[in-house]
Amino acid sequence: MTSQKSTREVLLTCIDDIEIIAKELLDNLIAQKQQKPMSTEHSQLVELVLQKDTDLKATLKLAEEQGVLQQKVVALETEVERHDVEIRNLQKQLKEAEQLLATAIFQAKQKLQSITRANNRPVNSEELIKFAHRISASNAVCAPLNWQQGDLRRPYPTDIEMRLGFLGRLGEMNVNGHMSFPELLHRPNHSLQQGSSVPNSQAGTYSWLSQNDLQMPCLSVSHLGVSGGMDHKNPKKENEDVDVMSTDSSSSSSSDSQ
Amino acid sequence: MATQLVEGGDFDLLSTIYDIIKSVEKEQQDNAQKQKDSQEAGQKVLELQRKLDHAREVVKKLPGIELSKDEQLLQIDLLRRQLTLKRDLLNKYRSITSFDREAQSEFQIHQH
Repeated sequence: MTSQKSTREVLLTCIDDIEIIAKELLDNLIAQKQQKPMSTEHSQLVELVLQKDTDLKATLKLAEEQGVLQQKVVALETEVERHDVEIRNLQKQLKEAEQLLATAIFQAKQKLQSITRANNRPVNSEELIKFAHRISASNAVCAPLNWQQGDLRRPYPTDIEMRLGFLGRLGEMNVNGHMSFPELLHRPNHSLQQGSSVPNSQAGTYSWLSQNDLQMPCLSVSHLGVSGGMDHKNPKKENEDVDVMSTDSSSSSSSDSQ
Repeated sequence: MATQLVEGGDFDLLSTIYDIIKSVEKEQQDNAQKQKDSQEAGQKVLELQRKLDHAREVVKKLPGIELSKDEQLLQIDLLRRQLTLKRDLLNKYRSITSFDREAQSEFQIHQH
């Protein structure tokens, strides 16, 4: 489909044609005066200029009609632009709503999954509270309320406490020869009870082992009874380990205290 | 609006051409009159040139003649269809209220 000439082009072409014909006509007139008259060409030029003038007037009328149509075009374009703005706003709102809903659905799915998990493996609330108390009672989760800068208490066992523990006294057992395990158990009962009864006197001590916890190692010690003989072979190594650990802890505690 | 931009004499070129022809065709015996006539003819030629330039300026300012009439009508038709589509789109999405499955299935059937 060939593109049609715009009305503006048609009008400008008409005007140019009239100009050319008028010039030709005047040249012809001047030539007529001087030389032999050429009336046929002259009349043709006159007819041509008249025709071009008629075309010009018709095209001007068309341009007037198009001017009226252009107002409709402008109004329609304004209306279309307004609708475009509304559509863009609506799109933005729908996008936001989609995001919100997607987030809500995701979180709801996660909650449903945790509900299912909880229903599959129910836990007694008493046991949960007991474990929570056990974890937090040693002040490993949060410092005690009366803790100040310079307090030697630590949320981890210090070297002194380690020496008082089972591993520390394995060396004693080796030195003293054969020592029964119940005696070994009674000793920590004795020393730690002293420690727990006077907490303020022995600085840097937390009650790492409660009375209940002391009963638990009975089971583990019975297992160790079989391998107790093997422990005799490596007491020095464990002492060395304890010494190494204590060195490390002392260095860390000294750095903490600074 | 085109008529307001176009005045009566903006495109009246024929009368000027006629005046020029009349001035040129006058045969005078007197040299002074001849000179006067030729000056007059020269002025009318300049006037014609001015009118032609003015006509071109007016044509350039006329609105809505960038396209032919057929193309303009096509443009109007396209704009009207576009407007209808967009209006329907907006009405469709504004009328959605609930998110239950029955409404969603009805909406999908309506779309197809």
